[in-house]
Amino acid sequence: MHPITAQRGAMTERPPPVRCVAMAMAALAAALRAWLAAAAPRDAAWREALARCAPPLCSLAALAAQMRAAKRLPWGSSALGAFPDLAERLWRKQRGAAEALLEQLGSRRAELRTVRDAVGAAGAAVVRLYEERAAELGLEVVLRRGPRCPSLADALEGLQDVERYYRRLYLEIKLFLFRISCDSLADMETLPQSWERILERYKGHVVQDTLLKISLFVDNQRELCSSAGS
Amino acid sequence: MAAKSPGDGTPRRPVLPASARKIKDNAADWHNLMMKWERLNDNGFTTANKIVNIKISEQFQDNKMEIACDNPGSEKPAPKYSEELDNCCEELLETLKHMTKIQLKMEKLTSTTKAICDLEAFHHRAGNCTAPIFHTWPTPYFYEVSLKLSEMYKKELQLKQTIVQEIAHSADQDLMMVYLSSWLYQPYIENSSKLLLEAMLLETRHRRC
Repeated sequence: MHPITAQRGAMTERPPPVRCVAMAMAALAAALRAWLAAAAPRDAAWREALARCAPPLCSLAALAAQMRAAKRLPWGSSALGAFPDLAERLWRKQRGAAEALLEQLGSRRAELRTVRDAVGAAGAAVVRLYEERAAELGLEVVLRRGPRCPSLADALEGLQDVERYYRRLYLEIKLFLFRISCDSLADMETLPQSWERILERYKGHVVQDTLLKISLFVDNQRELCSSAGS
Repeated sequence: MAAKSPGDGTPRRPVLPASARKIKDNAADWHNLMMKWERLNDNGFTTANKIVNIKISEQFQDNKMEIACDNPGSEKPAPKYSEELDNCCEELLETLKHMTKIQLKMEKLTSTTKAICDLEAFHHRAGNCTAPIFHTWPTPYFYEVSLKLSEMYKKELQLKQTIVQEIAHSADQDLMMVYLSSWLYQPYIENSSKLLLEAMLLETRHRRC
């Protein structure tokens, strides 16, 4: 997403007619309302995909503990020495189980990517609309806040915050999942703790705060237009 | 050998010869036995997991007592009887008994299929044709598949017998974890077993393409 831009020289020119401002503001409010309607279910889908990552990660950690135990075991001196090919067969089955769990995590990653892309596209569409109508609005209107209403700039900044949140967290999760390997069982055993650390870093309420901010804007943006003419 | 259609023209399934009927029933039995085995395997894993947790917990308690006594040279306390452990061992033995019955039934299915092949071979010598009974599988292939599956489960049962005998007597945590893992992942039941079963069900028309 590009930084928010406004037409230069708007402050020195005559302010646009009130009717133009109201129409532009209404268009942007409609776009933000549509963004809002889609954002809440997308965030719910994101949270669900994150929650569904935890069980396969715990299973992988348990599996890693089993695989490490099998590597440490002196097979010949136990009762299992009567099964000479058991170690290799068990390893193959455990690898198969690990791959099945990694496939599940791959599906979760795809769900997260879908949300990231949808949020990015929706936010970009709103910002594009703003850039087309910026001249009609004027910088003063864009930056104006009301008693109960954040400014349009605040709302658009919120869109960028949300997009950045999903983009960065997705990238961390993608790298985290790509690094999981049966060749490093010690790391595999600590997957749940590593996962919690990632979620902890992104614990903030960026999305909820932005939804609230945009919802306040959409509900109260008319008061910004009525004070524009005064 | 097709039955006559009723007056409304509804197509009927062809009536199979007796040996084909038997092979079809055997395929269904294989499916049911393998499903029952999987359920028993899950139950057995839950019980074996409990046994291992009790053993680890007992070891932890023993270590704590040893530290509390602060007398490393003194005798270790005698292991206490655990009713819970005893019950779990009984449960696991019971599960193993059921699995043994299933494996014996699998051997029976294999020997029945062998008998059908021998009968067909006898008729072939008498000059009768040996076209596939269903789609493409020659009759001896049903025996080959049954034997393969039966051998997998026989070997797996031997492993499970060893695990049941040893798991409650082991003190090594790595060994206990390997017992659990071996029980759960069934190393002697190859991944191809599911494919063989599905192929058999498809061939005998239990499944539609």
